[in-house]
Amino acid sequence: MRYLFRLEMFKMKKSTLILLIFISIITIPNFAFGMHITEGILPPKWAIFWFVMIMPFIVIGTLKLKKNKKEVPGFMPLVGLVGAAVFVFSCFPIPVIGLNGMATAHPAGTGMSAMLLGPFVSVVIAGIALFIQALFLAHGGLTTLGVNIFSMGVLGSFSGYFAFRLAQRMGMKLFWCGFAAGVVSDLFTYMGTSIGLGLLVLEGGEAFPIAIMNSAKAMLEIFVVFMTTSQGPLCVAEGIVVGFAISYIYKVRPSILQNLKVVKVS
Amino acid sequence: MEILKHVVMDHFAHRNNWLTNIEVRVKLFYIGIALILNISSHDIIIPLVFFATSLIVLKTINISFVNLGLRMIMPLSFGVFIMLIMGLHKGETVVLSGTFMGYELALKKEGLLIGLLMFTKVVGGVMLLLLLSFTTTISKICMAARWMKIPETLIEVLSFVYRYLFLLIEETETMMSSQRSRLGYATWFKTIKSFGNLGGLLLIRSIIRAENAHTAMVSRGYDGGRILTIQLAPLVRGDYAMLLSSGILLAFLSYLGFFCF
Repeated sequence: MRYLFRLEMFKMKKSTLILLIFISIITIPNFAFGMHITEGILPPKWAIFWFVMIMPFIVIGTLKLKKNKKEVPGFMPLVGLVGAAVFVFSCFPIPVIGLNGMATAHPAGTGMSAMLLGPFVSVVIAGIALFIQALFLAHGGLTTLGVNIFSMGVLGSFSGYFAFRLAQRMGMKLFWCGFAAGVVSDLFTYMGTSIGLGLLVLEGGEAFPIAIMNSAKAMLEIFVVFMTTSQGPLCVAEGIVVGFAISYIYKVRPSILQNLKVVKVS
Repeated sequence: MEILKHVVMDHFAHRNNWLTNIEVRVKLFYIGIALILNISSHDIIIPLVFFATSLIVLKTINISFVNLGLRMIMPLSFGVFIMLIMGLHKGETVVLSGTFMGYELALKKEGLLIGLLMFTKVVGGVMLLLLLSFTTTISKICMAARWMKIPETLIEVLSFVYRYLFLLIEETETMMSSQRSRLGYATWFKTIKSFGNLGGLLLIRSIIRAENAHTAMVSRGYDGGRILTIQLAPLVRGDYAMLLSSGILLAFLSYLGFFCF
């Protein structure tokens, strides 16, 4: 009985160890960056697949940039500087609530850029930010740029933009519109990352329904790990930060939001 | 933020050494093919060879282990994470098992081996990226991008973002220390509110700066055309020799990676 108890204890320790490893990976202080899939993770077929997936968005975004560059004088410096500002914004070390300042997480920032410049331009900005992060911060990578642009750029920007517009249509206050954009864009970004990682489990040798089930299970588990550690509270924190930021701009310089057509001229 | 400033700076690439003097297109060719080989590799040898060679080459230009380590922490953590994911989802032979809150967790040998391969690919791939970033400035990458016919609009946005990034990081740090001195980060809610105001102010400043930058650019003759005016010089004999030798090296490595193991 004593030995059985010890065995049970050992099993418990092992499972706790596994969980602790998970938590420690996600919550390493100051380094829990926006969970971009790092270089080397994706096999060639998935790397190509994700590049194909993002290509239409990048092409449309670039065409929109070109059109606006011709029509609006000073549009390119504006996009560049807002892009740089959003990049810096995405590096804010937000303390994760509940972990007593032990860990900080970093917002995605795509909700903010989509709100200000529109979703397609935001995809391009996210792509450029991810490219710089891959090269100079070793966060993300070049072969994983496709999946990272898809999760952060495409899913993050579009979901954030539509959440903001929907909240506006519902007559919510500007703070809550910004909050919705921040929370939803973050949620979709991590969902995208979970999909990208979960699909790696998909194997050609297995029967299709089983392979899909395994992959979906992995996606769900990864998403739960993200959400229950630092990234879940971060979604709420990013929402509040975006809400405060947009309210601050409206209070201090409402003309900026009116010129960018974020709010209507009253 | 201090760590970010330290890590993101490309001052290593501005140094004058044998690696920074290599033609950017040669470097991009080598890194591009090596990254493809790295992710296509079926065993851990090729990624480890890329890791070791890149590390040795970077040590020849005195890049410290601290600088490399700072950039490697996050990718390595991600590598361990993915190794666990693979261990939990692939294979049959259980090496470690347990339950947590009624949820069965079992690490399997086959999955862990796949995860180990992925981990080495992360190590090799990230080191290759570091080799590029420590030896190549963003302006040279932009020039190479233009040579590769990447749309001018994208290069222009990249140049703008990179041009103003460090300036905005410095401004943010100044504003953050001002907020800190006024107890703006005393509690969690105050911290969040301070970050919100900081984000708003950062955007306002960047938009005002964009207007000023545009006025200054127009006064210097900018009419919406390209902002990068430097062109890459044509490849010389030495560059072709470098291209050929890196091509032969990569072909040899690919032969090792695909057929020997």
